[in-house]
Amino acid sequence: MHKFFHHYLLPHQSNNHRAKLLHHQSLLVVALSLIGLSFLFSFTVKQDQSVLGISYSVNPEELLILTNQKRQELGLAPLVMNEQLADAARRKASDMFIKNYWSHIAPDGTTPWYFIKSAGYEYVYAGENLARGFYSSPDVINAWMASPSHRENMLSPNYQDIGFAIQEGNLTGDDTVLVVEELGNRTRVTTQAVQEQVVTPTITDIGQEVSPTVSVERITPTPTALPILAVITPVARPSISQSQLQVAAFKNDPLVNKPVAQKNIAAFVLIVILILLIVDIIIIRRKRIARILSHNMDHIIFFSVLLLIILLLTRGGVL
Amino acid sequence: MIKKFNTHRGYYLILAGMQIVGFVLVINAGYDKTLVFSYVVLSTFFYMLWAYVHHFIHHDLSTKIVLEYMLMGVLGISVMFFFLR
Repeated sequence: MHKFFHHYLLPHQSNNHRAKLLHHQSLLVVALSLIGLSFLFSFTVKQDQSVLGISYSVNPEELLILTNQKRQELGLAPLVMNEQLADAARRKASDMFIKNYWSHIAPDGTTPWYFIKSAGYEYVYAGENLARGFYSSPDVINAWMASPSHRENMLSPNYQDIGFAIQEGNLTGDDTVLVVEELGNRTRVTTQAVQEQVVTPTITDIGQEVSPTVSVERITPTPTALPILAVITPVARPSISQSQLQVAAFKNDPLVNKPVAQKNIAAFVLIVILILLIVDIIIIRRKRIARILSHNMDHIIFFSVLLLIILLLTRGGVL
Repeated sequence: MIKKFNTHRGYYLILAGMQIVGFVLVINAGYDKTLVFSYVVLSTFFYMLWAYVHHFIHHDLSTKIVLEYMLMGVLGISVMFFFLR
């Protein structure tokens, strides 16, 4: 065991003063093994997702509870789950997977407001938050709270209703979990005098501000053309059945979580190679052994950057 | 080691600079995995090319060194291929 350790991991006479794992043949074997393993992963995912897939525990109920906790801490009224907004969120999530985009606005120019209106929700205020690559509800909420623009959306007093969609799929080449949050407030004007003049809000006849990062739509009625709106009655919100929530809270628990396994294996290989290279530098320097080889420092710089990329790319993102 | 680093300081700085540029490009590519992988391959290519130029200038470029950088590059690309696929 001791000899094995020395031979494979440390510069020694037995391995010509270069850890066996850093020899050309070993590097080739490791590289080919990784390529083979990636094809094995793809094959397994296609064959049986109960073995290898994406495991997550994000659900609308928990997201709602956590959002309302944050709001109540600031003395704001809690939001109410709205099935129409949840439907809009599901439509938006499906559209993102079908058209393969990660943005508030689709490549064909479709805005979030289209999905909200299509779901039958007539809003006065509406907003949207997106998240991907998070595997638990608290992680999603914390990421939104850490972003000032998303935080502003979540804690806005302008909203009364909320709807979530959690969907798993391949987005821009990445197997991920997508969370769409639609926020809204609808108040129907009942003043008879203005009823004929109040039309469905559109971009041209109302003031609309769309922030590129948060995509908050704030609609204000045209100020002087219309009489002052006297009575505003909140519209009754449809309740959501438990079964509907369960569908939205689809949870999958495969034996191995693919994104986490990929990250851990890739990071492990890089860390082992980096440690071997650093140990190699130290031992060769101490023993003053002359070798005709490449510079270890080159490889250390190269693999360190790759390790940093892996660690950063596995973090979830919000939009 | 420090003496060697000082001797090749310019070389290491250029290499680190190239890798940082590659890193920034990858991070800007965000979740577009095809683009990320393309930048990684490009970055690896420049890492190998610059190493060959450096060893050629210092008159110690040998088949063994060529092969070693090539295999390190292949290993880096394989790791990223596995991670991104």
